[in-house]
Amino acid sequence: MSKFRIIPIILTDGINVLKGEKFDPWRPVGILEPLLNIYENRDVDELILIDVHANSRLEYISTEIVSRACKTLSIPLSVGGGLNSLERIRNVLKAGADKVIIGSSSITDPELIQGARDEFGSQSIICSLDIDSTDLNHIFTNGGRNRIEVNAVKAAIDLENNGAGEIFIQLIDLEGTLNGVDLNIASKIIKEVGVPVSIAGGVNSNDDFYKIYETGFSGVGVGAFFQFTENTPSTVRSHLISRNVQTRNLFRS
Amino acid sequence: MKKVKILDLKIGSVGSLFSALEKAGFDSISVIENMESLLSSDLLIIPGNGNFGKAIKNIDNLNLRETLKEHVFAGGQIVGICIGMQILGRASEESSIEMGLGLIESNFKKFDLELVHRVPHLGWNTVNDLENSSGLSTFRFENDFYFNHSYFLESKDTNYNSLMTNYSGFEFVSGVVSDNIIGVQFHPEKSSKAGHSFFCELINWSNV
Repeated sequence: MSKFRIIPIILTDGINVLKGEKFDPWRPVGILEPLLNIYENRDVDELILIDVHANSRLEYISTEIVSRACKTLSIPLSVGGGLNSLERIRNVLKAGADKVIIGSSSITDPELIQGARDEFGSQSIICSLDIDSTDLNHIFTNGGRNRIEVNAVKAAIDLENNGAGEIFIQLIDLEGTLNGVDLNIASKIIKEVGVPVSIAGGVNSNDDFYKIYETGFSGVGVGAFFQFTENTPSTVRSHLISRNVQTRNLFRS
Repeated sequence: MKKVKILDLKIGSVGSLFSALEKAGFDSISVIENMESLLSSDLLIIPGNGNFGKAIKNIDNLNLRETLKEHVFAGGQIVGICIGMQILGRASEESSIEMGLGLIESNFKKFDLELVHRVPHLGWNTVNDLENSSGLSTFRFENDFYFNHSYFLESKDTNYNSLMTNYSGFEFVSGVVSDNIIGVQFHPEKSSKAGHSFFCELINWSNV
């Protein structure tokens, strides 16, 4: 097992930070750059930045935002939003992102993932897998709008075979709700693949982090829990350390 | 004048590395794509993220292979990061055709999924040099750095001091340090304060 990663997720429309709930509706909650600075100073392990409006604008996450974010951050940054072609992925990686998160296209365009693996290496590619936490027989695309009858385990195996270096499961029925994570279905998926798998959706307690770690996930994406409660990456880290979970050692000299 | 040159092999971006070097105190940082302006006194950093085969192809297309070796033999210094380290080795299981520069006399092998359970090795992990054989004190204190790789250095090259990392119970060489070559498998430019400490130490390590 690698050290458990705590990964704040920031949803943006390009300028504002957005709060989502069950993938809809959105409301702006602040400006992006100050939030990046806060996380940079809070010793988080990585950051995920997704432009959730990019698809509806028929665009992709702005390379300007990506390169400015990379100047602020000294930790890894994964970005997503409208990445449905090799050119878009190339531009975003060139702008400084460490990894790209590919959503719907992971499912609808397997050749894109294969091409991205061949050109950039699978360690640059995170494929997200959107599911309902109670249903193994369907997956979702297009921001949760399309429900497809495909077994989620099979979908995950295909993502790995196509070249995903990491799979990111999003529990779309729990996202933004702070209702607590439900790992019943998701735990069946990670047993069947060999790449690292992270998960996000609904986390509302320190114990949720522990359960996610114990189930074998390599990291957890966190949205509302940090943005709208008094919990911080430090409080979560302290809790996990007290339960002997291996997390990142903070710098010592 | 604290000077460094970054060799851009067009595999991954150099922005974060540039920022990290600036923050560490290098005051002259240039990004080069060929060796024309390189002096034997220069400190050269080779970053990389992607594919060993592609990196070697780019090196050979730019005719850099012999020039890089000559740079070292003339007393120049090289720091290779991730793929930048792997190209300094001999061969890699990642490519059956391309060969590295052989400045590190060892091959790169893929992690055994049965042993480590998840590949790639992704996330933060401790880089150890508890006896300080390398002279880089950042590694004496069990500091963590960010890793994202599927291939690792198969054996120690005794011409170097080794930095060690344990992944799921499996110990491997995560860095090599000699007087003119450093190779690190992890990404110090993505490793926050520990990475910053490493870059600050490069200034002292550097002959420039």
